[in-house]
This record gives sequence, C-alpha cells and structure tokens, in this order.
Amino acid sequence: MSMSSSTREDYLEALCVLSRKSPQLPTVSDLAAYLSVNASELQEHLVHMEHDGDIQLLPDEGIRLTGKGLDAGTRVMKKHQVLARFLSEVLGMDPGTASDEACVLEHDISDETYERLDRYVRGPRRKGHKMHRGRLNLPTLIQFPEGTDLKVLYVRCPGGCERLSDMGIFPGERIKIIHTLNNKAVVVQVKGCDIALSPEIASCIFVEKSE
Amino acid sequence: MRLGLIGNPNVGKSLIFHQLTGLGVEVSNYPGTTVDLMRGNLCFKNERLELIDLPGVYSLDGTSPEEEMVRSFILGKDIDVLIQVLDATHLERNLYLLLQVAEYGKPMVAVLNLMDEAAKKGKKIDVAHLASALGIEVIPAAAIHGKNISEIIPAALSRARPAVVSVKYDHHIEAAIRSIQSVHPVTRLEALQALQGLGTDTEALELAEALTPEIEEMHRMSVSQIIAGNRHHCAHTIACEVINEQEEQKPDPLDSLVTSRRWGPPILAVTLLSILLAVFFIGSFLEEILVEIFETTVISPFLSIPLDPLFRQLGLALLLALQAGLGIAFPFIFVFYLFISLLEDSGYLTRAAFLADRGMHRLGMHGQGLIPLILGFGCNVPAIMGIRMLRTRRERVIASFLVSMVPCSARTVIIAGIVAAFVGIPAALSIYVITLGLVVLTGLVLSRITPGEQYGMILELAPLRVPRFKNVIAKSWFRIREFLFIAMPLLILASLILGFLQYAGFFEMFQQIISPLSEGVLGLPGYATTALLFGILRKEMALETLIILAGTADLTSVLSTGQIYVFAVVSVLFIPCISTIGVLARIVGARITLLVSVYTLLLGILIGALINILIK
Repeated sequence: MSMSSSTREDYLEALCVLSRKSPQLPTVSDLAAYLSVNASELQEHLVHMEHDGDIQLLPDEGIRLTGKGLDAGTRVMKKHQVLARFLSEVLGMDPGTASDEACVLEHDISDETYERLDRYVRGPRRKGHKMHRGRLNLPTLIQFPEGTDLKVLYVRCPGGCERLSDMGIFPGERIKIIHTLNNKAVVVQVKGCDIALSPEIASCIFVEKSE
Repeated sequence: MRLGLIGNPNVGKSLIFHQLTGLGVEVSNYPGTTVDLMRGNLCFKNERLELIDLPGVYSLDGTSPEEEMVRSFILGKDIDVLIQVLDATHLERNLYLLLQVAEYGKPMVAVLNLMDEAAKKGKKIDVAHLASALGIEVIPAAAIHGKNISEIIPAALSRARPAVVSVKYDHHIEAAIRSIQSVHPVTRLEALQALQGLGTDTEALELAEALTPEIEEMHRMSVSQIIAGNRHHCAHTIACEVINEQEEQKPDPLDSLVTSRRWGPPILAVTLLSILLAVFFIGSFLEEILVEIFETTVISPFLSIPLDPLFRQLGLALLLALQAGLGIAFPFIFVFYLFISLLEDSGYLTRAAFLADRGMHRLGMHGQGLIPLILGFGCNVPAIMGIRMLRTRRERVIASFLVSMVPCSARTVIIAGIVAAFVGIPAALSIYVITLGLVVLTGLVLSRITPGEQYGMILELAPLRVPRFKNVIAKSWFRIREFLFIAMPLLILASLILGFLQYAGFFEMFQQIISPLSEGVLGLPGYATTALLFGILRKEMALETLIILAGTADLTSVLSTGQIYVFAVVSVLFIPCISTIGVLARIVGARITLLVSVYTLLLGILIGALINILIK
C-alpha cells in the first residue's frame, strides 16, 4: 500500500509533537492513541517511512526520528501553529475549528505564504499580545471615577504589556484609581506605588469593580 | 573586584553610590548602547574595588535599553558581587526584581533602604526573617542619614552569597522548562527566558515557541504575564510574612492638590514659568558680576602685556573661552540645574510629566516627553540623551526635533546678553515666545506626518519628599561636571581655532562671500553672519564672535536694535550646536540628525528674513 504525502506529514508532525512532550521516545501505541488510528494500519505506514529514511523503528516499539524526518516534521508543525494562530487570532475562528482547519491547510501551503503569515502573526513585537480578541465588552480603567477600587481582568497592550506586569498590573491584581485628568490619563495605586498611565494604556486594561 | 548596585528607580541607589565612592566618579557608556553607567573606585582594607551603579530597572526581562544592558551585565563575568537596594516603603514591588536577580545565581547582599520612612509610615519590617527567607544578608539602612551605609562594603566582600529564594512557577511553565531542557541542554534560567522570547539560543527559542501557544491558550494570558504573576505572588507572600504592621495609606493632601484636575495644570505652568524667569534673572545678575571680575583681573592685565600678535590672538581667544564658559554659561546652567534637581528630588518632576500628558499628546508624544523638553532649557545635550526613555522611534524623532529647538542656557546668554541689554526685556522675552511657539507648531505638524506607532506613558510617580539641600547641590554639581569636563575643553579648542582663523585672515574672506546674502536676506552685515556660523560650535560663541568681529562690546554703536534682534532670533533658532548634533547622531541616527539640522537652519533663516521685512 502506498502512502500519501499528507499522511506522511501528519505522522511526522505527530512524532515531533510527541517527542517534545516527554523525554522518552514515543512508541507505536503512543502515536496510534495520539492520531486515533488503529495500530496495525499504522504499523504498515511506519514500515514505509522507515524504508524512506524518515524514522527508525526500535525493537522496544520506540520510534526515533531521523534528521530528515525531524526536519520535515518540524516544518509541518510550525506551519500548523502559524495557520492555527492566524485563523483564530486574526480571523476570529474558534481555536478548535482553527486547529482542525490548519490540519488540512498545512500540507499545501507554500513556503513563501508560510513565512509571510508567520511574520504577520508575530506582530510588531513579541507573541501573545493579540489574544482574547473576542472579549472586548468589558469596562476599561478609563471608565471609572477617582477613588474606585478595581480588579484587573485582562491586559492587552499593543506594544507589549511587560512593563505593566512588572509594575504589578496583571490579571487578578487589585488596583485603585487615585487621579484622573480631563484627557482620561490616570494615576493608579498598585502595590503601594502610584503609577501614571496615558489614556491609550489605561484603555487596554480591562477591569471590574472590587468590593 | 567589581561590585554592582542594582535596584528599582527611586530607591536611593545613586545616593548610596555617591556615599560609598565620594568623588572620582566616572560616567561611561556601556559598549554598544547609549546607556550611561556610573563607575567609582573605593579602597577597603588596602584592596581596590570598583563600584558600578547600574541604571534603575523594574525587571530584568524587559526590552528597554536599560533592562537589556543590566541583563547582559549580570549574565557576563564583569561583576563579582551584586548589591541589591530595596525600598522598605515599597518592599513587595522591590522584591519582584530581587526574585529575578536571584535566578542569576550571583553572590549578593541586599540593602533595605528608607527604613526611616517606613518607620514613619508605621511599617515594621522583620529584617532577620527577610534575610532567612531570601537566604542572603539584609542590611537595614537609611541612606539619607548615612545610617548603616558603612556596613555595605564589608558585608558584600565577606558575606555575599547566591540567594536561596526561588519562585514556584505555574506547573505548565515548570513543565515547559523541563521539556525544553530535556531536548536541548540549557539552564533553567535560559529556558525560562526563552519562554518569554528572550535570549539568543535559536534552538531554545524555537522549542519555546512550540510550547507557548498551548500554555497561553489554557491560561488566557501571555507567558510573560503568567511568569510575572507568579513572581508577584512570591514577593507578596514574603512581604506579608516580614511586615508586621501595615496601616492604610493615607492620601497626601499636597499630592492631591498638585495632581488635581483643576489646580494641577496651572500650578505646573506657574512653576515652570517661574523657574525660567528665575534662571534668566539670577543668571544674568551672576553673569554680570563674574564677567566684570574676569575682565578687570584677567583680560585687561593680559592685554597690557606686550606679545607677538599670534600669541596675543591665541591667548585672548583662550581667555575669552574661559570667560564664556565659566563667566557666562556657568551661572545660567548651574542655576537651572539647581532648580531641576530640586524638582526631581521633591518628586514633582514625575507629576509634571503626568499633568502634561494631554498637551504632549498633541505634540505627538506623551507625558514623559516633557522631561527632556524641560532639560533642554539647561543644555540640549543631556536632554537629547534623555529622549532614549521614550519608547517608540516616532516619539524619539519628534522629541529630537523639539528638544533641539528649545532655547538652552547658551542661547539664553545671547538673549540676555544682547537683546535684554540693548533692546529691552520685553523684546528678550518675545524671543522665547517666538521659539516656544515654533516648538509647538513643529510638534503639531510632526505629530501628523511622522510615521510609526505611539506608545503611551507608564510612569511611576516618585513619592513627594522635602528635598535635602545637600543632595540637591550634589546632584546639580554632578550634572554641571559634565558641562565643565566635556563641553569646556571643546569650547576652548574651538576658541583657539577661531583665534587662529581670525589671525590667518579667514574671516575677511568668508565675509566677502557671505555679505550679499546676509545683507539681502537678513539685513545683517557680513561679519554678523560669520559670527552666526561660529554659533554652531557653541551657541554663545556667536555672541562672543560678534563682539570680536564688531570690534566693540557696545553693539548699538555698530548695529541697529532691529539688527540685534534679528541676529538673536536667528542664532537661537538655527542649527543645534556641534555637541548636540553629535549626540543626536548617536541617538536617532544620521538621517534624522541631518533633517533636524537642515530644518532648523531653514527655519532660522526664514524667521530672520520675515522679521527683517517686518521691521523695515
């Protein structure tokens, strides 16, 4: 039985993911469980792949990726991640559906498209700041008057929110509004320190009233 | 042996540094960056030690130039022992940084500063408990009174050790660290940094990148936020254990007044205006006295010595340079720095930045941009250095234009020296109005046309304190040293070249070429434009050169009041001085520097020509 290239890629990707999850080599049954296929069908494909030089089957059921197999698998894994992020974070798809969709698209996408998408999803700075796109209906810091005690729910700064986290403004922390200006610049008290924030920063901090 | 002082901003780190090192401090640049490092030497039991004051940071995992520099400094082998300075009044937030520093495994001791203020606020800190929780020696201190400062060095030399405290990270983070380490040999710290996208190990970064989306999805926040949250939690737990009593913080009525929506902005405007006026009047008063003394005790006696014309010319140039630097610029710049240090030490400067946020947004910047603009009134060079703290290139570009246009002390010298003296005080103040008006206009235009994103202000308000006279003087003195030791030698060198060129007859040649243009456009004689040209070397040199070339200090005998006014306006506006250009090139690059120079040159000539037409 011959093997389609997308199946081969799926297997290699799965092996990459598995080998990163645990220090032990993945076994045939691990792989079968991960892909939810039956082990005898799998075995047939694996023999093919060993013949092609992608993997090495060890006597104890372990599967070791060769250099060639690792390269191919890593590549598909990365394409999957970039596609899934693009679909869920930029297009707003449900993460589960996005991941399923990425499973199909990852085999056909060209290297150039992948690289461009990758650059796009990485955004201006570091990863991870474009999350929770769907939840914008929460009140932000600028909507409360002076003297209110608040609890931070989400922080989503366009340029990265590391500085805010370092100063103690991160989800779960309690803060208090000390001053506001006409343009909605605010001074908040957090961990006993007064921190002044521009309106554009304050409007990225989603909060709720705390008792 | 090298010791490094590390801590958050505003914890008294610099004060401790000065107390430990005394005089003989040198400011140097960390290679490859524009971040200043202060180094000082001290002797302890016949051993020579070097103490390095690292810039104040809130974290070691950030991407600002300061944070990156401190991080690479601790990672390297440059420093043997770290001295972490903690603010006892804000212990929890300060422990956050200490927990990060601890992860680097360097031998360290902690100095718990501001114990006096903590006691005043009713906070009792169990120092022994804190020391055992952290696993390092903790020295309670009050730097402002010099209390326990002498114990720091002996402790750092004999009892420094790596901290034992370590943060328990979320189990997903811990699992990710183990999983990176199982495939690729990196340290725990390197794996942790890779998860936050830091470091240069591409293999570790790629592994981390594969792991983070899943963690971020599960926690619904970024890995950096999870890690920060875990560290804050650990800091909070330790702080709760060691602080026995904590009263509710009462708002300071003075603080409420100066930052209030209603009274804050007018108080800020009045404060800044009074400082500028005070500098202007006190500066000119002191300048007159100093120049008089210099004239009668040095220059007149020198001129009466019979000398070879070349030596006479060069000697005179040297003396005039000294007079210009010490007698003219010094009074203005020192008075200005005195006021600024006062504002800074009292904690008002950060509040001023907050209040100015709205206005600064119109100019395409945010509140923090006010600080370099204010510093620009003293000297543009440190002000341009200060624009590094603006976080986006767009803001730095806009700030570099605006700061270069702010009338510095040297330009104040010209305004006070010729316009106030020969035309009148209102005319002198009108030049400020014109210049500041142009600064605002330029900002309004630049904020529309400069590409790039704007990042807002995140600024900790320093606590309001009554400034200590001694510290204010020390700080001003420290700032003025830069002027004396960096700018003065340049000034003297430039004056000597000027004297030589004058002797060689270069001026006559240049004047002949420039005269038609100068007279036609600005209505100024050729020698005045030559003088303007020398203003590029140092601004007040334009005035000095004008007096030399005019052959008299009584300018009204050779120029009309209108001409004097035009001369002053053009010299204030056009091209920043050569030192400013040098710093600009380092901070924003050659292209923007060229743009700033060309823009100010054209603006100066344009405004000068307009005034020339108007007053005719």
